[in-house]
Amino acid sequence: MANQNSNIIQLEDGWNNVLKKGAIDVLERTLDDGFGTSFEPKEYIRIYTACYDMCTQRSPYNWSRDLYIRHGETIETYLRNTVLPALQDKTGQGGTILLNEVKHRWSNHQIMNKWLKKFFTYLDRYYVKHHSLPTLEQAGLQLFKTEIYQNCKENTTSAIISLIDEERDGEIIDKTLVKCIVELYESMGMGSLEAYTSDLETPLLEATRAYYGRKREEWIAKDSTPDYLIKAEKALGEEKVRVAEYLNPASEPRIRAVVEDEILQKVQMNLLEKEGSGCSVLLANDKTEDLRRMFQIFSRLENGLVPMALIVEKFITSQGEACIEKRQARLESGEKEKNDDPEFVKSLIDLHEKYLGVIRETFNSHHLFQKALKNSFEEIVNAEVGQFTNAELMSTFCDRILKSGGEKLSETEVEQSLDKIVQLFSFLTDKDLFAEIYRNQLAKRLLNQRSASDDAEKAMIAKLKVQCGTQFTSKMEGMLNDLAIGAEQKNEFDQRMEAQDTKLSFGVQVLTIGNWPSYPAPEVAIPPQMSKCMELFEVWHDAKHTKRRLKWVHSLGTANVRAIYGKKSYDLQVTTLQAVVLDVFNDGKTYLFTELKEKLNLEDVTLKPIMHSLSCGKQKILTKSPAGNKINSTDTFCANAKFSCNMRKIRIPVATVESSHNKLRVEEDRSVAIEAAIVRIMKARKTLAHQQLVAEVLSQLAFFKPQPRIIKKRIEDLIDREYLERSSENSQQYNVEQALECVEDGRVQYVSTAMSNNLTALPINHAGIILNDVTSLYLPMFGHEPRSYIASPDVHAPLDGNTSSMAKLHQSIKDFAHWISSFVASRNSPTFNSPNSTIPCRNRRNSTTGYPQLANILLTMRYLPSLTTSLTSEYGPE
Amino acid sequence: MDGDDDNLDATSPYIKLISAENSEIYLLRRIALQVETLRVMLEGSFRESEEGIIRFPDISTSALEKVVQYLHYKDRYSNSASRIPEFVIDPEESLELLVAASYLNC
Repeated sequence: MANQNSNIIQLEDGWNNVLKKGAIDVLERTLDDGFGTSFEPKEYIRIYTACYDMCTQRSPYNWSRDLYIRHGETIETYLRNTVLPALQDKTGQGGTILLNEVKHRWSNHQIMNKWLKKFFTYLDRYYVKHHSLPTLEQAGLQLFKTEIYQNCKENTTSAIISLIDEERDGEIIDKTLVKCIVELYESMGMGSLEAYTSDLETPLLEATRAYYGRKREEWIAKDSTPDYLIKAEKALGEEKVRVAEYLNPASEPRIRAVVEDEILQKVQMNLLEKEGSGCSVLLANDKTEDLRRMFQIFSRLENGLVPMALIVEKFITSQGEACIEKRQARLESGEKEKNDDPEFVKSLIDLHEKYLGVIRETFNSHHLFQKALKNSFEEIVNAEVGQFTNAELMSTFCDRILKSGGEKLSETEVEQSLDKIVQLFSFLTDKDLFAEIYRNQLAKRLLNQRSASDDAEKAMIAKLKVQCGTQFTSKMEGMLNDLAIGAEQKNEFDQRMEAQDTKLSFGVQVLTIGNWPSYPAPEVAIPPQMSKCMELFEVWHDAKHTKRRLKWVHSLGTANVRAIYGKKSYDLQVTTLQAVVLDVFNDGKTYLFTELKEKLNLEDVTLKPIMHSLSCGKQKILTKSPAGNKINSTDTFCANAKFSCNMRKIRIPVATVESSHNKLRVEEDRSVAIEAAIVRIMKARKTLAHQQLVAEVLSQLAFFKPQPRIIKKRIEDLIDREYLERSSENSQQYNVEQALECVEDGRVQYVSTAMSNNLTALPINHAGIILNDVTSLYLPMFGHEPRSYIASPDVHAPLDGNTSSMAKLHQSIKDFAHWISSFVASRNSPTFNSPNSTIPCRNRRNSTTGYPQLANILLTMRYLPSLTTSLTSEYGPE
Repeated sequence: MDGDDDNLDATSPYIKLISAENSEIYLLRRIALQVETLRVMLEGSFRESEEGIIRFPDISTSALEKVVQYLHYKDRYSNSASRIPEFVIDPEESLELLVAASYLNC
């Protein structure tokens, strides 16, 4: 090269003598021999130098273009004359042989391409770049693609596919071979996967579909669902491994999709509903393992779990219905209907617990299945059988657990049972009904001192609170609280009682009205001894709590009465009212029923059961004449002098006719709740169509689901009471009446005309908020503090709906609009944009700092050019 | 740069470059591998990779020396946080050096 001017290399000389003879021929020979390729160091320098010289000679002796063309021709000729015939030779001889040949020829080509690139590398550096040609390597690959790949790809593809099919059938194939060929396909995309996708993957996907289509038919015909799923799971796993082993990772999702579609999606319903081994059969037989597999397999499919969850839901519902039917059958077979059916509630609890477990263990607590469980239990728990509602049954079940002398359970068992019943309770629609009944039963337990454990009561209320919120349990908590306070005050009062000599021992429990169920409080004529105690308490209590009023509920009281019959004396445990009645007979006279009634100032309904308990019960303290089991107003009573009993302490129970709860009261509470919801919604929405309103009301009510017609009735009631009105344009719509509506009009009329469209889009609920919203939106734009505006017009007009203040409000809004528009005007005025105004300092700062100087950048630069580049840039091109 | 030991196999950290005037210059193999042409020669199944000797019958000693100096300079200051000093090239020799650099693609 130093002597290039004196010693020009001619094209044919250089090509034939050095490049062809020294490099290409040698290379082709070694490829054909199959030995490793190796070049002497001197030889490579010779070849490289020759090529370099031929490319650096001045025109017309610059042979770059010719060398580039000849490089291509060399490869092309070799491929066409040597490789292609060899491949065609092998085409008929079976897949593996062809693939092996392709593999061999492909690796040869890679070697050849590599070396030729090394020999002619100087072309890559300048000629190729200047003419934007494919690099030597790309050109070599492209030639292989057009000459060889296009001719043999179909045969190769089908050979690969048949190999894969063989592997699927369990045979062992040469995976390395397939992997090599797959790499060829990948290379043929010239940097993209396009060739691989269209030439190999697409046919492979079709073949996969066909293969698994056949398998599906075969399996579904003879296998049970679990067996089928085992096979499917295996197949899916194998396909995944296959891709990892020798296919392109990009194929994985596609192959998986095809396989899933063929063996799962297409027969999903067949599998799930298969007779004798479908999903519900598996559930019935508790086949956890199979169910888990089924869950995992179908969770692969999009929405694949939906039908499965549906089946689970149906199954659980049917199980629940079986429980209900059992109860129904028992009732029909003549069992007396009670509000207490622990067997039934227990069966529901067990059912729930079992499937909660199944869903957690087997279905991974997937939300679809949780929903299925919820749906089915909502259906089961709210299916009413017989006279007593499930709410009542459940509440009574709690009662049994919580009251003393009920179920004998350990503390943990109580805790667990309560947990379970609360879970069941959460499905109940009539939660308020449950609350009412529960409250009644709780009151009874507390007042009769029959509650087994305070802690258990508290725990149960806490659980309900977690489910339904504070509001739901506030009354129950109030009840417990009353008792706690009562216990404290008792001591204090007892001391006071000791000071007074009353002969009676006397205790009072103060209950907060409203927390407790309402009880009848008959005005009874109390004997003077007792009323003296009451007066004492009243005085004491009034001194303590001046703002409270006491009302005596004698129907809840109890009394211990000592009855003396000759030598024998008995302690009678009776209610206050019974004691009052007995007190009358202390004088030994005989009384007519009507006389008693008058004397005691009691109603028939109250007195009759009392008399019945005293004269017709097991222990006949009074004698009734005529004898009989019924109390008539003409009967007469006197003390039974011949009374005797083995026990000293006798409890004389009164038959109660009151039901465990007051249905009317529940209804009333519901009406109030519905109305409150309607008004709340309408206040927020102002105008709403009937259907929407009903829907919103339903969504707001948490503790029960009223019938739409009941809601309609409440709406009509509210219209009658002028809380709402029917919209004048649309009879299906309602408006909120009075002040709020006017404010809304004011906004539209005044604010929107003044302020263009921006304001009309603001959500405005309330006069005060209108102004704040608008000001907080606009004032920052004008650079003002929102406060400075609020002070200007007086907008805080009272919203009491009377005309003069309404007019004042309208005026305020008008003022406000005017004020805002004057702001807009001042913003557009020239003074606002005057050049004297301060330029934001941000701009100024930018201009002084500027960018760092170019020199500085160069100084901090962290890269060095190649010697050639630095020389060329410093001394100019040659 | 004395060439008393020619036992430069593939494990040696040095290779030897021989100029047109038969001057021998030792160069760290690691640095040599950064030069395109040298790398091609040293890689693969070339015997150079075993011998570690490369002859350049067309490059003069002075040019080859300057190339090696530049390679060291580039290796020293590439990715260096310190200030990069100027690499002084005598204009007289720049043409010959340019040709050598182009040949070696460094």
